[in-house]
Amino acid sequence: MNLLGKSLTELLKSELHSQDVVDYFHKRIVKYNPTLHAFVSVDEQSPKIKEDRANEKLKGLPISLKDNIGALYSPTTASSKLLETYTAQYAATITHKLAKDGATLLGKTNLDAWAHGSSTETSDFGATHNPYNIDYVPGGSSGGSAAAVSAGLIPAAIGTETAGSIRLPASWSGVVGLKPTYGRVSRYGIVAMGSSWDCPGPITQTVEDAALLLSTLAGKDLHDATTIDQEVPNYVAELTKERKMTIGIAQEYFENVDPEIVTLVQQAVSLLQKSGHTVKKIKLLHPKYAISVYMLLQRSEVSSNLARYDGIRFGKNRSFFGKEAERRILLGTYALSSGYYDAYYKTAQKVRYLIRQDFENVFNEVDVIFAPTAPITATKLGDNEKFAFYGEMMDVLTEPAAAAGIPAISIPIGMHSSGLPVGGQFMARHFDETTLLQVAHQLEQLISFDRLSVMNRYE
Amino acid sequence: MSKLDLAEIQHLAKLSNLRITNEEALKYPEQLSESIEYVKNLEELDISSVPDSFFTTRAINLMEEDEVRTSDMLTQEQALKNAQSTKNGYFIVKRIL
Repeated sequence: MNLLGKSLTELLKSELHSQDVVDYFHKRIVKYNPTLHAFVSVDEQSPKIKEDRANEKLKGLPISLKDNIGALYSPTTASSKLLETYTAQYAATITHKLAKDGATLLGKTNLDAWAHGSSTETSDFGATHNPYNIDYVPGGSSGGSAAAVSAGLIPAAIGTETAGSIRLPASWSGVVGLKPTYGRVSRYGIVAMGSSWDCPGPITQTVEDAALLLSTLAGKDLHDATTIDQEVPNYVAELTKERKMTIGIAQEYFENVDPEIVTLVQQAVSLLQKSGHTVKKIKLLHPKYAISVYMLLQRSEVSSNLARYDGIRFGKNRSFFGKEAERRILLGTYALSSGYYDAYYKTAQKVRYLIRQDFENVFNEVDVIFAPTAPITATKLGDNEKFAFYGEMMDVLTEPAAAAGIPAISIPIGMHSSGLPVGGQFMARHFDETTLLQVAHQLEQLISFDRLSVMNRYE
Repeated sequence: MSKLDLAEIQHLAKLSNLRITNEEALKYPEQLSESIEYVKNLEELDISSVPDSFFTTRAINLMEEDEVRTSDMLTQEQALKNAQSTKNGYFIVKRIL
């Protein structure tokens, strides 16, 4: 049985018994995880599908969770030694929703410790490797999820994004990564990082699978007051409506971008144009301001969120924080301290307002915005220290949408001469995932990215 | 906007209940000062007409009934499950008075 490259949707339509599918992927994880280290934990034995799940929407098919998402009585480490012994005593809302819709949860995937990073190298349990070239990083922080989907160790996975942590690894690992609108998906039961930014979302082989999983994940949650009570559309049914759109392109998102990536984005733009979409030049605030906003606000929220790890209720004491967490806590404490609050936190919050307003103005003229997901392709393991502000620089093109809270999706748009994949991203209005998924689906059909070759290397 | 020196880092560490080792602390002032330097670009933007409050989705005053949801409660055993140090069903903490 070879299920490589079969999307979740294709597996659902197949006549296969879901237990066989779970066993198949469990075997692949056990075999190839030592090479890729995409998972921090996986059951020793392939999990038995619960009978009631086999009749639900997801038919018992396997899905992996990033290890900052709580699953009942299971380890949830956030890839930090501090939480090495922690087991969640309640399930995250999205874990519960996935189970209710029939998913079999298979394994917890690696991340930068506390999701603080863009390469998955700061995991306290060791880096994840990029399936395209194991000397390279998969991107982060949801690097384990992206690498697992890319190498065909799992049909689909769930990641979380604060400012790029779904889209960057999706782009560097050649898979689809959807960051929904802030408030579209519940954060309850997920290790908190930047609470006014954090958003879980699917990492998949196809846009259709992203639509399918978003339908399960999205919705108002009694346990997360920041979720919005707004109807969840049938994203899958809406997907195939061949709407013609006006697509905005902003020059600010092409500065200092690898020329080969620029060319691939331009090729994608002409494909969209040829299929009847209108392309319009737009002007957006320079993404460098989003870096500063993120640097100040995320650190501030981190310093507050990580205060709860005092060694009393959860896991070990504060000496188990890594350097990156310590730096972020210190900077956040500084930005929030009296005398500096106005200059840093408040100023950043006001610029964040401008970033959101800027997007809202542009969305009066266009339906979606298209841009490269990252300025370069995946970096070599260990090279992150060669870059000043590595994370911020790699996430420079993903941070503005995250700051504004708007939805965005990265899909593979081709290969770089280095043999590494390249991603392009669409951004859309708040709560307009429908349009976002439609246009991404159309481009995906036009490009027909080869996702199978990389999986065949792990066979 | 100022630069961060070692004394200030040590003060921030104390405020945030971190015990940073000397070797690490030596690098933090420079690393964090670089961040403080970078964010100066925010001064280039005019924020004079921006309101004081911000929330990502503009959600305001979402109210709910003040009621006990027993299904959300952890048992005493669950609540203590991840604690390093407990006694007779309580957390043991450092003396604070």
